[in-house]
Amino acid sequence: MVKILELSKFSLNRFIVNNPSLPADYIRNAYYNGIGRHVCQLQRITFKFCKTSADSKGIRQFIETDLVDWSRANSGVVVYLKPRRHRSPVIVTEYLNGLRHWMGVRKFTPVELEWWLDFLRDRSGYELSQLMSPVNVMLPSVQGPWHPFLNRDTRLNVYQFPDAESGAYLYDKPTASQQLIQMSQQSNTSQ
Amino acid sequence: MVFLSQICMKYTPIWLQKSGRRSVFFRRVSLFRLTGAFGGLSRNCWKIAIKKWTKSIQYKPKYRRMRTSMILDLYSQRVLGAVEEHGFKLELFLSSLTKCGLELDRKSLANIAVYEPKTFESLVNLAKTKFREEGDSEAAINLKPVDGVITRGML
Repeated sequence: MVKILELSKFSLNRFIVNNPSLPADYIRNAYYNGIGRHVCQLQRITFKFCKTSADSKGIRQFIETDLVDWSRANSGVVVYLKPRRHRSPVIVTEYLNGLRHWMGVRKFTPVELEWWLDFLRDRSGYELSQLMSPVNVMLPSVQGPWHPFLNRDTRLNVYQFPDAESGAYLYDKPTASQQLIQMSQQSNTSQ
Repeated sequence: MVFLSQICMKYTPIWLQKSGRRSVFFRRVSLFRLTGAFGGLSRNCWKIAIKKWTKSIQYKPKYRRMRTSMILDLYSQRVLGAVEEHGFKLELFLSSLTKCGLELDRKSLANIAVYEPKTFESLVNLAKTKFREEGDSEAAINLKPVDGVITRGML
């Protein structure tokens, strides 16, 4: 009985993929984003934080000082603030293709939050994955890709096997008998 | 004074740091996130998972180095097959191309052979005429001439 290995995202050859706990995928972009016009793929952010606890101090500082400037600079993103008592602080980001990313920001400094927000804004909506190739092409072949019958004679369809012509051994150099024939022909022509 | 243990503690992963206040669950789940693709108990049970993980991270740098040589091997295999199909040899093909001034590596040659087979055939024809023109060996003399290539010697 033959075991059929299903093509699942997580079962991959360790020679190809570094981290098998991440799915492997080819690099993708959201509908040629950036070739013509760039559209920010981040749709909305939700900041959930506590007004009193020490874990949320960084996020509270960020909201007081830098958040409004950041949201003005990125006007395409909707920002929601949700104060939640006695809960760890969290950022939830949603992207245009439907991806939802949850990230805990417990004990983050405001500077760290800025760095993370820049990352979350710049990424496309596709989930993090091991890239199998840094290049992805819509039309890899212009002439048509190779197939086993491309350079073969079409008479193969009509051959009766065994065929003496196609089964013959291909010599690099002429054989002794062929050399003799050549020599006799040369002598005939010279005469 | 240098406190080496404090310095080393900065670089130990979370699953090896013993913090007394939090439960052991969080320390262990940070490793189970990485061993999710392992089989059976190796992904769920701590004692087995930590051993498998320490071994796998020893294998990773070795495999990263092997990967380049394996992929190059694959590309050379493909180019060999493509060249043999057109009745020529790999070493002669590569040496003739470098003499023509075409410094194409095996990766690009393999991609051309797979995705642009007619271009590859013309490259093989070019190499054959160059090899024939050199005329050093018996093989060069006995090689059949090929259509479609014009060299300076012919003009």
